[in-house]
Amino acid sequence: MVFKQILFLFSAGILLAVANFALNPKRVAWDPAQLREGEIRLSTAFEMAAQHQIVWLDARSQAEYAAGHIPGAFLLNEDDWDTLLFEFLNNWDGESPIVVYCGSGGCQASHMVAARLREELGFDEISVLHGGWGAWEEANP
Amino acid sequence: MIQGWIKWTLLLAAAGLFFYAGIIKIWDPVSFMRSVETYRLFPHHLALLAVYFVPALEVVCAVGLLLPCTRRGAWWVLTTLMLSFIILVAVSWARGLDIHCGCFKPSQEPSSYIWLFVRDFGILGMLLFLGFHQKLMSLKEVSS
Repeated sequence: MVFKQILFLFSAGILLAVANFALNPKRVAWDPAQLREGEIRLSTAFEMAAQHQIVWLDARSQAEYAAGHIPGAFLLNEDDWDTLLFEFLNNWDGESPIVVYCGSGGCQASHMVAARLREELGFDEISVLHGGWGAWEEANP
Repeated sequence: MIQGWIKWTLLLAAAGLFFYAGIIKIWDPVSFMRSVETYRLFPHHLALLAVYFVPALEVVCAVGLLLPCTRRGAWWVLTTLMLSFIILVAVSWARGLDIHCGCFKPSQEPSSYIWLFVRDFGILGMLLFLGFHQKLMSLKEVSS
């Protein structure tokens, strides 16, 4: 009896999940290599940097930042948000586009920091580096 | 009479909670995916499955909890889900991760572990209370 109920509920859940995946415009990419909303590739960041100054923000931990970071990048993570944001704002011209990165393609810190910055600064030219620090290291061994 | 009120208040509270939690994640799977990835436990495709299937199951079981014909099944599924959430949070806590629960709203800030445990154990307690009080849950009626 209970088993049949559970089977029925699972079947209904699968149907709803498939319908959501097929119909919802906010769809999660099936391929992790695909760019997500707000992400740019390293090549695009280089093209942007060639045209005008961009600011790199490192959303990883203090220890990871200390071990190595993109030259000129500022540290900004959620461990010590207020202090790090204050330091960053003192060094930012208020106009240069911002590119945030974290450890790898799977990390979320860069997306979180970018979303929080957009919300708190009301500044839209904030991108996330696809592949993060891993992509940078691969391109600059 | 009093038991009837208690039963329906608890059933409606539990059903409403899971329905709401499921709907907001169904509405914005991208935000929920970001939350799931903060647990750093699942490969992409498994996380993708969880992002679409778990909220759907929450919504279906929330409705199922209100229907006598599916109440017991929905109770088992939701109770198992809650236990899984608690284990997942405990594992993340032990690993020292900053997780974004994503349970009831898309969030940009790390969730507080203490608050997560209090809330999850509260919901689990409500479900267990319903499940172990046969008159409240009307298990006999349903299974007969």
